[in-house]
Parts: sequence; structure tokens; C-alpha cells
Amino acid sequence: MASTLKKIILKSCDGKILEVEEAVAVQSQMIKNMIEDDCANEEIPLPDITGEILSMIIEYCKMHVDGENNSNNELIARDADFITRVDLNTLYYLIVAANFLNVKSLLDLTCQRVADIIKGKSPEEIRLTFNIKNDFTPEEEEEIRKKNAWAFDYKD
Amino acid sequence: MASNTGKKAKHDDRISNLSDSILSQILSSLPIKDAVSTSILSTRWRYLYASMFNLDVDFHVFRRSPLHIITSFTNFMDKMLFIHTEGRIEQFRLDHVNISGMSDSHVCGWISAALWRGLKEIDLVFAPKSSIIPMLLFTSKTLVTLKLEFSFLMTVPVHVYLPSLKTLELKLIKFEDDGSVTRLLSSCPVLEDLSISGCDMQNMKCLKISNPTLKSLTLVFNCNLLEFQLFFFKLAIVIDLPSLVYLKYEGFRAKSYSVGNMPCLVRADINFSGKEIIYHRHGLVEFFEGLGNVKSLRLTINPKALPILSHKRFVALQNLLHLEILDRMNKWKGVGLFEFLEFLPNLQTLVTCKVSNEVWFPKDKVPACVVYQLQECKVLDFEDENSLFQMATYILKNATVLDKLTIYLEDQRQCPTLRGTFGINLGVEFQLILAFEIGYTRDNHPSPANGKFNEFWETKNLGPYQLGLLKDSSSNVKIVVSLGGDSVGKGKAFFAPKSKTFWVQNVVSSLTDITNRYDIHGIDIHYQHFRSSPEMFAKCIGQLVTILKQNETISFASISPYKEINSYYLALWRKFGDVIDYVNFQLDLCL
Repeated sequence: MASTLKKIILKSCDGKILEVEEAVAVQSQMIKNMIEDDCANEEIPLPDITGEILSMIIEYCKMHVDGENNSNNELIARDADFITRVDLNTLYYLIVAANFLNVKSLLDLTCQRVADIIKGKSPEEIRLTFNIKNDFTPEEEEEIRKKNAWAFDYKD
Repeated sequence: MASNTGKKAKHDDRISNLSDSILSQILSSLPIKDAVSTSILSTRWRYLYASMFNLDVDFHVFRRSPLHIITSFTNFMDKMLFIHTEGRIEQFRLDHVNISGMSDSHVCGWISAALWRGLKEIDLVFAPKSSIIPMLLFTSKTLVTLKLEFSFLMTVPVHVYLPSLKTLELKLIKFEDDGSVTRLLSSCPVLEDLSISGCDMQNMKCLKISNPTLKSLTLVFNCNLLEFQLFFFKLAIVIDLPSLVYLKYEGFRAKSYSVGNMPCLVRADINFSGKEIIYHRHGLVEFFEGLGNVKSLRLTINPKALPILSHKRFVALQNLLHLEILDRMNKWKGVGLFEFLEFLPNLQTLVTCKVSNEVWFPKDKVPACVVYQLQECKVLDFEDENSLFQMATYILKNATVLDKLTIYLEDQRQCPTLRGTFGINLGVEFQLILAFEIGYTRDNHPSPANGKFNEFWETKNLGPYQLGLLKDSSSNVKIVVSLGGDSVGKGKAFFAPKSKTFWVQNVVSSLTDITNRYDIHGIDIHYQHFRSSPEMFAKCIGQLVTILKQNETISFASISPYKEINSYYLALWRKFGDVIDYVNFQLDLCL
């Protein structure tokens, strides 16, 4: 049954080759465009995406194709399950890859996940979580706090 | 693209290396205060917030703020909306409360400004007695989604036109009159999704929902009415929706219904659990007759209403394939079930929440759908074992094309003493899913037992003897043991093996022991919570099933991915799909 469907062959930057059904592959707007331009008959090299990340993205796309007929709530639950298992490092690579492959729903999901991690944290906690280096002088910092005092007003 | 960052150490600041457009999308997914406060993280983040394209504003944050904070925020919003007008704004969400220092007209100005900027989605919750709905809201050319929630009168202007609007949600709103609703709905030429919930319709005589493009309709009426109010229903509901696919309807609030033909209707989710329904027998029948084409129906109903529906005048639901009867109050005892089936000639799947000794089984005239169409039947709960077996016997005896009968015995108190014999049709698979084998130690503080399984069902009533009796009655009965399940004691049951080899060994030995004693046919993998990776799950379960089958301990294995076929089951399916014989979908049927 499955063998009669057209397969798209993807090659990750670490040389892993993955065969994907066309219906799954076209979740990526980039690959969809390539298929439409008839450029997807040979293997497609993906220079910035590792095999591990690529398999995760395919898993995600497959989940969406399989779940097409399910209600919105089920899809949301599946998405949540998928994304909460991902650590920060992987999340970063997923964002970059989703952006490159242009899988809009995955890009939305991953960006929302980063937003959820940021939400409710103090700037210091955010810096710690993502290892962001504060390169402001104390004067600059004071200026920023003053400019939008409302955003730095912590009551609780 | 930030492509070369992959080579850096694990703890590098990767997020700041993402492109501006991605970071602006991340900020756009945050409440406005969180988004703007990122400007202090580092120079990279300083001005990023200015490129946000969604504004999510919650006034509750400022309820106890001093005036200078309010002024600072007001200045910021003025700048974002009135001065930096070059960027796009797609979404605007406002949760409004009255705050001194922020006038209604000022807030109204922000909404208008956002609308001018080509807004696609707006979600407004207004405090009581505010007067801040800009008229621009009703003439936006770009708006795709409009969500309004407030408990005061909504004045719909004479000229309304929302040419792009696809989703409209109205909550708690007090409608002005019949004309205003009609005017609003007829001004949305591409509307697909309409939801009206908890709205006040005191001023209305007739709620007319007529739209050629609408695909999904949700109507929720407040059910908590006093007894005397029930007699004052004067609302007539007219539904004329030729493209409707999905209908959700909660609360029975109309004096009369006129439901036009809905040839595309696939799913309906109806909740008539309130008591008002019994005073409006006629309306109830009218309502259900309007559902003529529905294929899948989920019905939550007042126990007294089903017999009303089975009244002789009721016209059959010819196309209904899937029926799920639920009961939130847990009062329905299955009364009227088979009488109702009379009107569903093509029903293929039946899910019933309850059977009891009050179910009446029509012996002489078995409903046609049971005889010729019914392929699957699920019983979620039963009052006593006798009625369960009466039900099971009835179905198995009469349903000639039945594939599967599933009975859930999750509650240990209800485990039946199995007795009596069945006359079972050839080719029917009867899965009796036993209470779940959890793999937890069996004491007051259950903890993961690394693969040692216990019978978590009531062994007193369901011993080897009873199971033997059941099995002798037909070779088609298969007894299945579930591994996993939802909870143990008060906590969740996790799949949490400490070591793969050890776990598999333990499970094989304890399951072999159990299956020898009880003569069990197969296992069903039913884990719902995990404390391990999908790969680990796949390897453990895959190996387990392979060994059990090689040893001929079991003859088949199935998986029951709960709620979603999540990655754990996918991983298992991918690697060991050939040893899995069945997949029990625990999903709502979606057509």
C-alpha cells in the first residue's frame, strides 16, 4: 500500500538518508516548492540539519498528516506532547530547521515554546536559562528601565 | 540563518543568534509586559520588541499600579500604535478592566489604530459598563477573526461589512434585538466558524442563524435556570446553514426550532442534560429531526429525554454511523437505549456510558441496525454484572456483523463474577479488557516495580475458574491483559523501567506466571504516562512482545495509544510493527 506512494529522499548534514512520503514532505513549504519545480527527484541535501533533528521534524509532519481528520483539541494535545519533550538545545535546532524548511506550524509551535519558557521569568532568570550575557553598562540598564518603567514594575 | 552555531559548546547563548524575524515571532507570542521587559537582557534584545506583530495586553496587571506606571504604559501604547505606524500588526488581544488614569476613549483609540493597521485577529474582553467598542470593528476589511466578550448591550451599527471574517465568537453579550444579529451575520460573506455562548437573548424573539458558508456552529446556553424560568421561553430558533459540517449545541432554551436541511453535517455534539428539556418535548423532536444527515453524534442527555425521542413521530436519523451516549451527571441508566436505536437504521458503532437492569431489550423486534449494521460496541460502565452480561449476550446474539465488543472494567469494584454462557456469533472478537496490570508494587504506597506485574483486578471474583467458564463458551472470546493504565492509587502510573534487560526479564517471568494461571490470550499495551524516552519504550515493549510470542505465552498483542498516537507508540510501531496485531484507537471517531 505504502510503497505505491511517491517518496522524497532527504539527506541530513551528517549523511543520514531518510525516505519520506510526499504527503509528509510537502508539510515543508520549501520541499513543496522544489517538488512543484520538479527538483525533488533526486535526494535533497539539507546542509544545516542533522539526522536527529530531521527525524524529529519528519515525526512531527507525519503526526500532522495522520491527524488531519482529528479535532483541533487532539492536534493541540499532540503538539504539546511533542514539544514538551524537547530540551533547549534541541529546541534551538528545531527552530532553525523549521525556519529553513519552512514548516510554518512547527515554527509557530517552537517559537511559542520559547515564549512559554520566557513567560513570567525575571530578566535575570531569562539570562540564566538561555545563558544570555548582559552587555549593558549600569547606566544603559537604568535608562532602559526608566524608558518603559511599566514593564519592569514587579508587584508580586 | 544562524547555521554555524551548531559547533559551539552546549551552554552557549544560542537563542540570541536566532534571526530578527524569529525573535520577533517569539516576542509576538508573549504578553506585552514579558515581551517589552526582554529589552533589558542584552544589546541584541534592546529594540527587538518594536518589531512585535501581536499585541497581548492584559489590564489586570495594572490594577494596583501607581499613576506613573499607568502613564508610562499609556505612553508606550501611544507610541506603538500612533507613532511607529510602519510595522504590521496582526493580532490584538485586550483583557480590559477599568483603571483610573486610562479612559475608555483612549483605549478605544488604540483598538481603532490597530484596526487601521490591517489587523487580522482581534480578541476583546471588556469590563462591565465600559463604552469602548469602536464602530470601525464592524467595517474592517482585513479582520479574519473577531472574538468579543462583555456583559453589556452590543449595538450593531446600521452599516456592517466584514468581508474577510471567518471566525466570530460572541460571549456573554446582551443582544439588542432580532435585527441586529441578522444584520451582523448577513454581513460576513465568508464566515466559517460561529460561536455564541452564554449570551443574553431576553430582547429577542427569534434567533435566526442563516449563512450559506458557515461550517461550524457552537451555541451554548446558560443551563442554570430556576424552575419557574423554564416556562418563560419565548425564543424561537431558526437555523438555515446549508454548508454546516460541525454543530455543538448545549442547553435547551428555545420554544421552537426550525432547522433547515444541513446536507453536509458530519459531527454533532449535543448536550441536553438540563431539566428544561422535559417541558419542551415538541421542540426536542423538531431539533433532532433537523439533524437528519449527521454521521457522528455525541449525545449528553437528561435521562428523561431519550424516551421522548423514541416517540413514534420521530423521523429516523438515516445517516448516523457513530453514536456516543454520555451522561455528565451519571444518572442515566441506559433507559430508552434500544428504543432509540430503532431510529438509527445504519448505526455502525455504539458507545454507551452505562447499562443497568433498567435497559429494556426488545426481544421480538431487534433494532435493524443491531442485526445488520453494528460493527463495534463499547460499554464504558455498568451498574451490575448481570445487566452487563445481559447486554453483552444480547449484542453478541443478534449482531450478525459485529467485529468487536469492548467492555471497560476500570473500576475494580465492578468486576463481575463471570457466569453464564454466551451464544456467540462466529467471527466476533470479544475483547474483555481486564483491569490494568500496572507494574507497580501492591501496597499502600505504590511505586514502580521495574517490571514485576501484579493483578490489579479483583481476583476474588475473577479467578481462573470464572475466566475458564467464559472462554469455554466460545472460542472467539479473547481475554486480554492491559499493561499500563492511567493511575495507581492517587498518582499516575508511569512507564519507568530502570534497566531494559532487567525490565524485560521481569515482565516476561511475571506475565508468564499470570497467563499460565489465567490462560490469557494476549496483551494490550496501554501506557499513558512515561518517564523514559520513546526509544526505550519501543525497545522494551518490542522485545517483550517478541519474546512472549516466541514462547507462545500470548498469541497476539495490541496497542492502545491513549488520546493521541504519541511519539512513544509511533516509535514502537515503527520498530516492532510486525509483532503488534491490533491497534485499539481510544479516540473519538472522526469522519
